[in-house]
Amino acid sequence: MDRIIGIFIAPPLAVARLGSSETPVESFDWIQDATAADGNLTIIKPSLTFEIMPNGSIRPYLPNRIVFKDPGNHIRPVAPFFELWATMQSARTGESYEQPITSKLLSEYGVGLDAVHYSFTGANRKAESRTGAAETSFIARVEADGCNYERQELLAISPHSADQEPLVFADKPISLGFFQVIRPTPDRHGVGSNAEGADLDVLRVRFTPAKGKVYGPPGAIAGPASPLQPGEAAPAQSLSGRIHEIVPPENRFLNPESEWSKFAMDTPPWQPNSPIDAYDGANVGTYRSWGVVDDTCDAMLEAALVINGERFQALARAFVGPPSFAPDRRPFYAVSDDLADRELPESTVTRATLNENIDEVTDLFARIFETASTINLDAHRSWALTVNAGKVGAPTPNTPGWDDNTDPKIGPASMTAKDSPYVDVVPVLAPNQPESMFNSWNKVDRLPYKQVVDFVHAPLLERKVLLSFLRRRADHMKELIRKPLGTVETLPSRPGVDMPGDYRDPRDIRSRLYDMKMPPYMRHSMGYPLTVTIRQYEQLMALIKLLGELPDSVTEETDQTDQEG
Amino acid sequence: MGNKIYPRNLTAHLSHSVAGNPAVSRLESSVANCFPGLEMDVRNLDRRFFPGLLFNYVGGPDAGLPQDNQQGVKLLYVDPLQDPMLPESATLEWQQVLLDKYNGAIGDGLSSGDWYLHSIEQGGNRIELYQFAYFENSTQRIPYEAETVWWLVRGLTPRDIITIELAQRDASGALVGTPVSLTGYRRRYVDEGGTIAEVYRPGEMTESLCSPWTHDFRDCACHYWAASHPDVVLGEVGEDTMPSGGSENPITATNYVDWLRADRGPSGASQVAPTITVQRPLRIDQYAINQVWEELAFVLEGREIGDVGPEYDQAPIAKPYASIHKMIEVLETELAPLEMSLAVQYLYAMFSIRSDDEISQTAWVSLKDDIGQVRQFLMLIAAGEMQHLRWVNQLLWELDRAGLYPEGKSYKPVLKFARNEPGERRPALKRLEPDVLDEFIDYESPGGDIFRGYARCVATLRDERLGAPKHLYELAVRIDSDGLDHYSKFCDLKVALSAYAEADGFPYLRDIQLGDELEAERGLALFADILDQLEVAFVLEASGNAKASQAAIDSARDAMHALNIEGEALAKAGVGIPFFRV
Repeated sequence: MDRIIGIFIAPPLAVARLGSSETPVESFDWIQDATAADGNLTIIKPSLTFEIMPNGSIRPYLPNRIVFKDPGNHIRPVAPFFELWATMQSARTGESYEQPITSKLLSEYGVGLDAVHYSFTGANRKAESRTGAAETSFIARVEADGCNYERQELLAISPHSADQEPLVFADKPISLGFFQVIRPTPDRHGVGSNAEGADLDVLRVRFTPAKGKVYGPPGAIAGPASPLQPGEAAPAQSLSGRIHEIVPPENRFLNPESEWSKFAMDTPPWQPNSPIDAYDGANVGTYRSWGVVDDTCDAMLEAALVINGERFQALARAFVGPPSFAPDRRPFYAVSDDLADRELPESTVTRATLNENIDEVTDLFARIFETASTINLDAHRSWALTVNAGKVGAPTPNTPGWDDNTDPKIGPASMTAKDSPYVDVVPVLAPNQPESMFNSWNKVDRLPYKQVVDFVHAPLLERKVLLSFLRRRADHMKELIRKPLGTVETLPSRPGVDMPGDYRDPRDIRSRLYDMKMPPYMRHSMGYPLTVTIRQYEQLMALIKLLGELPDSVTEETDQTDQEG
Repeated sequence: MGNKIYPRNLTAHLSHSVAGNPAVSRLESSVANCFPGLEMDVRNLDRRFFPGLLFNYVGGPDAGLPQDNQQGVKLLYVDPLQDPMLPESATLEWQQVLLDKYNGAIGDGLSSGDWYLHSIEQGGNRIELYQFAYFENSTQRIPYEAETVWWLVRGLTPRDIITIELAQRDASGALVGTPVSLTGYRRRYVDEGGTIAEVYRPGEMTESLCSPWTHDFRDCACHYWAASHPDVVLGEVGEDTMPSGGSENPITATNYVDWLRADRGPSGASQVAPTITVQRPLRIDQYAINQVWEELAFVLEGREIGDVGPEYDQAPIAKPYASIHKMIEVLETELAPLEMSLAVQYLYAMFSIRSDDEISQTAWVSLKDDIGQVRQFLMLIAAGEMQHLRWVNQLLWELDRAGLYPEGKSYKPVLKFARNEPGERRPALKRLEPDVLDEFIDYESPGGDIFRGYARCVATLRDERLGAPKHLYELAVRIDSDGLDHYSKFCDLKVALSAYAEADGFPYLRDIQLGDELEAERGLALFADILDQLEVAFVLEASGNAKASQAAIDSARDAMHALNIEGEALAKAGVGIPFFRV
């Protein structure tokens, strides 16, 4: 008999998304559109969806369209399922393999569903991270055996010592959503437990996030909202801005004596954690917190399985965020990319892996377009160049000339004809743009720079066009793409003294200035200009180098082989 | 057509597609460039980068406030007992040494007073976390703020051992005492099961996000979340939709609106402004967004939709050509020549539009604004046709290289004009008078012959029985898709120019006449040079010398710039370049 040597949960990390509808959004995949009408863009395609039945089992079906909102503007939440899997050791070969755990598999090992135990803990520590007071966090935990199919609500309260003021009282908890064990449907009739391509006997649980409500103390009734652009504060005395309700009356039950209601940015004893102004109350008047929290959380799912006295356990996590309002548009610097950059070795880029690398880089450019196509580049450009002017103390920020000696340009000349050799088609395709931090906007065509982005990037969705471009313009690409920031291993020990490294140096002010290098004018973590990850950058550069070394015919051979395979 | 999951780039088990879960439950849907982020803040991983320690990343006081030099990476507490990297049964030497330090005098010392990260060393390189300021022959250490040091910590690899030093500061930020040195490995943030390491308590990965989340969703200064939070979108379309799903109404089809606008009705559907400052008052305010965020529209393919997405339909819309050979014939004799004809007709039309410096009258105050847009759109469309010409040639040379040309024939660049255009229209170089604009709209319309021509190419190239190289159909898809965009842009121009329909003459037009070869000698020479260079480039790339072809493309591009300047000068003098004669 094959042996269970470990268990894990799939997915190990999942995003749940808020929504007040009682019905979760149906499932869909990303695919590349293949019709003439949509130009090879990523679109969403409905996929196998599970409806939970009253007895806790699931009914699979395939929707033909996705409902995002129910009547009354109730957004359907994203409520991920988690499956329990086992890593097995073959009794015959000794090889390891993975398979989902089913009730049938458990019975083969002589145990039932009650040999499985789950716990699910969700917490919101946003107030704690600002106040430094653990009693301003709020936490919910539920537990269930593998045969308990009750839908359990995650009611969160604040931990505290006897002499502390909790933010959330135990008798007035905040709901962080629901947790439910799914009833497996074993093969009772000898016809198999598969339906619509899914094995219904797999051990699953589901987390449904909360509805996206805000909560506050009784005083969080109404207040003026900053009328200025993000990060700016009007004079404290002015209390300017339109007045809005902050928290609806039924949710004003948090403790007004908690530390969260005393917090104010830039005010001792609280030290500034970046970013400091990310709460209701920031940048207005005295900056005093309104004591508002939301019902998001990040949660840990723990599963334990005991077989023959041996305890296996597995962890997974869920993060609750807002809806993905453009669900067919993907970021090119996603959390998955960040984790890969931190944890994985660099990509192997060789002739043997050429096809995979081309696929991955083509997808990277697709994601770049998907992000770029929804960005107001003209506004980003103006904002970023204004930031630059402030950082370098330009006395007359919008007077041409002050950035003449920069390379690339960081002021009014950025992305204009002067910004050579980086600028390419912009002067022709967005004619008459002045040397200014602001475009020559008019009543009809307000976004001339954005028009060029779409023109330039849309063709790079196509593998053939992209490959040709990478081959022909290898040197231009190396210049045009912003290098990532370096690491301790690659940076000089003393900036300005030791020889500079191959990457940008976060200690160098030039690394903090925005320019038209790709991606242009976008912001990275901690306020630096955005780049792709080091791993993405090195893969792209290695692919460009390899393409330069190989005959063009090699990629066509790869395409043909791929097709035949 | 795959599901866009790339396992080589994913940490353990993340490539699993779990039945029932929409794609937006995957981490690929979540933005990681964060300050702080929306779904999680990856910066929180770095708070526990070193085993046994938890840090806070402290920024400097805001501008205008007293600087206390307490910024940097501050030790919050020492906690080896709850760290799986330091089990009591640890066997590795570095683990035992570290545990010994934490459990001894060093641990006691670190547990009182304020300690800051002083230096980091990895791979033989040690970096002290201070800016060195030289003033009056002395050196002062100014601690880097958290924003800078975080990047250094973020770049640490788990593969090589690191040494960190911790130090204390006085009230002015000056170093006090002797730094404490600790050696170990950077934490593996993702465990073997594929999840974030157990040491992170629930709530830690989101703790730095905004409270409430709507606060930053509304207006973080990052402006970078276009994937889940679009900046600019096209408005929802009514019932009259084009094959692309776009609107037949040119305003709705090309008019970008601000996705975060407060007024969601028709009175709020104004074009988005080119600066945040101008747009800001029209957006949903802080606090208000707490109540109305569910009114924000979902966006598919760049357009706002109602509550429900479209039905999924991938049925082919065109009939394939009878054979690859037939398609090659159509590409060579009809579609490529048509692209070249259209490119110069649109370019000629652009030269017929007056430029800013030719507008001097006080009437028609909107004219300068409108001609700017008209000229840009015409240039984008003309340049688009030139791109199409290249792609048609690329389709042809790739088919040749795949051995799909008729026997005895081989690829030769197609850089010639069409004698006739769809509908037996004779190509002509004309000013952009209203009837000419109507003809352009007719060419590019979704039901037009051009659209149908490429749709059949797509169907042919995707027909596996005919054996075209994989991915080649994407080129034809791109040309088709651009055609729809051209159609919308032309319709938009018509709306813009309708303001001058009742004027005497056409105040936006130059008095331009088709010139003769002598008048336009230089312009024609430049155009001939463009074609010569493109021919060289196409031949080179077709023969597998893509890199070498770029020099010819650069030359062609230089000639295009020169032609643009020459064409403008001639047009101002009333001379239109006779790119071809009917």
